[in-house]
Amino acid sequence: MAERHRPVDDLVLQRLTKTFLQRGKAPVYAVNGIDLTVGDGELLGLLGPSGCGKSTTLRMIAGLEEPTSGDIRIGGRSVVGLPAHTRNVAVAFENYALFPPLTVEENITFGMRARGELNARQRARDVAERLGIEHLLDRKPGGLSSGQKQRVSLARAIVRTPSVLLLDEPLSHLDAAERDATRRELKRLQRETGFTTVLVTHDQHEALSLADRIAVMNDGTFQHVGTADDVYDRPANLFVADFVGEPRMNLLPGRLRTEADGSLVAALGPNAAVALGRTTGAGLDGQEITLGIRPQDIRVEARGTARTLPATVFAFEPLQELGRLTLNLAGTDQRLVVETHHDMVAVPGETVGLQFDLARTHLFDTATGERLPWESAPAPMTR
Amino acid sequence: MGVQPDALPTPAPAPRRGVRIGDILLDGATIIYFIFALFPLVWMLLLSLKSQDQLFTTYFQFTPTLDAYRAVLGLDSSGSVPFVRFFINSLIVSFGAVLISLLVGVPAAYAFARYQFKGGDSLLFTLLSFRFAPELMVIIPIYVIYQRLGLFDSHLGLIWVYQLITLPLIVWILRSYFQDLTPELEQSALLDGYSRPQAFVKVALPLVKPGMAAAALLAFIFAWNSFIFPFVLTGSQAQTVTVGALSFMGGATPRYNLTAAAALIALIPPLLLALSIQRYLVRGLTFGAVKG
Amino acid sequence: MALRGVRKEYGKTVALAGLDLEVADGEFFVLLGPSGAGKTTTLKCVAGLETPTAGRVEIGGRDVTEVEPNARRVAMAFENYALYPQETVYDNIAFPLRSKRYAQPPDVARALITQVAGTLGIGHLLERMPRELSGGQRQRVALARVMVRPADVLLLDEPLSHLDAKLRATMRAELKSLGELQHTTSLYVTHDYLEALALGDRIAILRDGKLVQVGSREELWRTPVNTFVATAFGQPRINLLRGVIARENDDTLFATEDGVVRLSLGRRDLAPGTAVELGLRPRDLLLGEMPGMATLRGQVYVVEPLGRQREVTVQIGGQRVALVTPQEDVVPDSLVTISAPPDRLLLFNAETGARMSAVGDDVPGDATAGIAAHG
Repeated sequence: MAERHRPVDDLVLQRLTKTFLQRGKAPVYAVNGIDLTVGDGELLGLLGPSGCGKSTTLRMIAGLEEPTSGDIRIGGRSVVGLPAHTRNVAVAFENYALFPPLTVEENITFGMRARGELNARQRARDVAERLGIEHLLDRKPGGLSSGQKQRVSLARAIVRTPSVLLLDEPLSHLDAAERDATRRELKRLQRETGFTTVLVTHDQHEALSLADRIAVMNDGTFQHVGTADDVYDRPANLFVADFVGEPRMNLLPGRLRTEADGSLVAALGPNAAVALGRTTGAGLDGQEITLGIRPQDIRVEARGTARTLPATVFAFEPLQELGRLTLNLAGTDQRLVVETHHDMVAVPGETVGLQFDLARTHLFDTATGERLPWESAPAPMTR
Repeated sequence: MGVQPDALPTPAPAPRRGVRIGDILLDGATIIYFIFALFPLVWMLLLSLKSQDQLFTTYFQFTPTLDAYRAVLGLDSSGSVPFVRFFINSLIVSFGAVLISLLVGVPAAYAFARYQFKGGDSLLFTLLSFRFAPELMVIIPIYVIYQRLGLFDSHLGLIWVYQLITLPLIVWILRSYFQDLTPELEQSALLDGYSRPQAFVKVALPLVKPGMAAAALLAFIFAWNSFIFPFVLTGSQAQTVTVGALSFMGGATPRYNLTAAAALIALIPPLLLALSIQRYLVRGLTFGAVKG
Repeated sequence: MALRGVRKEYGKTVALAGLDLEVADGEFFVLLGPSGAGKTTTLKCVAGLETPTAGRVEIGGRDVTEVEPNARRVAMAFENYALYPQETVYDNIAFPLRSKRYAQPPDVARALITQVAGTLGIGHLLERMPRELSGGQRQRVALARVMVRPADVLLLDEPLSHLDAKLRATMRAELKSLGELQHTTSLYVTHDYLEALALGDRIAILRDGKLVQVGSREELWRTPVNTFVATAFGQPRINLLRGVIARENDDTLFATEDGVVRLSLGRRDLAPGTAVELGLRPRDLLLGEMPGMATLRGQVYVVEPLGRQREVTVQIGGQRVALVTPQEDVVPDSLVTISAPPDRLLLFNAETGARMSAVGDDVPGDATAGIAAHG
């Protein structure tokens, strides 16, 4: 695309709230006082399960829904109360929302022609070329594959050089192969064009892949806002820990206790304890915790030692690129998953020893779900 | 209308005025509709409580009397029409017609839903077309045939001809109920050691009970309300309430109060039936059988 | 259990085009394919719910093609669970034990049901109604109904497809741990390659009513017969690099049309000019130049964080190659070298999609040493 001469297009949400009133029922807070700043040219992933409020947030930014309270600012200007078409926000909808009787080119130029802009055709051609759909310009949407429709919808969104680009589940209707290719192109395109972008998705893989930063949303509020690595490796609470990552993080309830030498131990069962070593986590003695550790961060040793956790093999799945070992933690009814090499030999019922990578071990307050400020002492186990 | 951050109101659920006005309008419209819909019934009720003298003289001011009901039910001699017998006739032929339709229609509906067979679609359409065609179209030939076969003015004759009304209803309604059942439910039973008829009786039938109740009720109401068939095909023996109620209007002085009372009495059986199977009418069908 | 030339037509559409399949006693056999491949039709032919247009179905050496479903000693778990909504979980599981064929006295039945329900962890749900259960619980009830009765063959039709991704992973491990399933002759249908790899003693790939390949997970992974099988496994999908066979002195080369990639395949009897596709699995590829490996050079197109790893897409001429690496310092637009272990390269005929027995086979004197980087 041609260079863009434009002001700084950052997007700021301030205590944005949307409540829905139902007769005779308590009001529903679809979005409950969220604060967010999306920097100019940044791609922010709005990630959450269905019904978490992410779509309502997108609709409020687009102007399809009015907030109950709070402010939305684009490039420093409040847009609350402005009609959708004056906000210079473009949306690529999940179902593409293409007009069937129009050709691809007419679909792309639709908005521009409505505003009487001049070089609509040329710009449509440029964008189409960029997205690899220039050969489809004269076709009607009906005959296109969903991947192609997705690109047309994207072309229509970016051809008007919006201040903010909103992507609503852009990959959800594509098959696996198309999704991989389109995702990569989307990422590249956003990088090159530098549109301030909000991506709404329920797919954690999509969010991790595409987003510069991710806002994990649940029950109308942000659970965690941070980079992909941040959300993945330092989840702010149990919800984020559980929602992000596939296979999911092992979450094992237990209790903290301080040993005589001052080191901290997470007791997960009668004879299952993880020595956390000397830590900064003072005053946590007796705390009910949930220990979180990802399947990649556990090492399996055929022979248990005093330093390993005993566990019995429940099932082993050789998945060719890797193996997935499900185990029962000895003396508890806890089950956990470990990622291993695909040709490991594991006999169901066999007892093995587990060693946790302490640098990647997370502690959460079971009652509140919040991450506990715990850092392992230096020199954790080596991997 | 950019709001300054420090001036933001806390999110309070302030109810909107617009919602209330809308609700009031809706309620008002509902009430008006109810008056419109129920007025004829109320009028009938008033009519049935009037005496013969006041019938044409007043609208709302009269001395209520149950004379009309007494006359209709034959409790005094002024009725002159054997309405109780007509009522029993109606019960016999309506129930009989529905029963036979169920016996024939349920297996038929199942077959139409589950099996592809030659001419199946045409047969189904033919069945439905009985409902499109005005009864008057066939009534004369049936009348002639019934006279020859000796079915004229008999319960059996009416039950038979009522199949034109009840059978298509039951087949069409139940066919869609059976279609909504996933065939896996019966297939699963087949693999679990049951025969095909057993799978039908033990698995499919219990699941379409609500459908059977709904279809039977509808069929009953249509049969009960049928007028043309009994009007033409019965004499004094097998006549039904629809024809019977009307016969009070003949004669030198039309006795509208008796007709109204008869019509209201005739309303009772369908009403009772509908109330007694109400829970089937509203209950979901196979909720929980499959995912979601 | 065996299928011999089983063919099934619905009017003019051919659902199964002559299927030959043998499942050994006690084997857990997985049928993998996209929707519409004929997987469920195959199961229904074995169950007797569909009658093949041609061919025979044998169970335990006996021809059962014409035998009624209830006389086949076959149990099947349906994709939509097929639970009876008006009956409790207990009655649902007990249903087969109340039939004439599998009848058990009530006390024996109760003991059986309690035991199976315990194994599946639904012992506390027996008095509930199906609609009160979650998807995973309904799935277990359907399995219990299958496991409670004797059966020569178990048929499992996409049992996990209605569960969300995370629950599916959990249930997959549970299926794997169920000895009853693993030791009964089982035919398991799925479109999810992870289920096939995790559970199958052998896997058959089905497409358009035909078998494409049957083999162990190792065989299907290392020596797929064509690109269809190769792309059926792995996330991200295998890279297929288009090119032609070229010859240089005694050397056979794989070359892309733009000449950006030239890889030696060693001394090979391949006709120059043949259009081919080179298959490279993203997780076999390494960033950087490694000795003894085939190398490709290109420019990083995008980098996607993938939890602990990075998915890196590299532009090589007009084509793109994806790889997965733990390296965190890969920068978009930088120039990189990719190394591929020569024994992992797959070569396919671009026209037919069939694998050419050139690379990747364990043939004596394999190209391992012969492959050199031309990049």
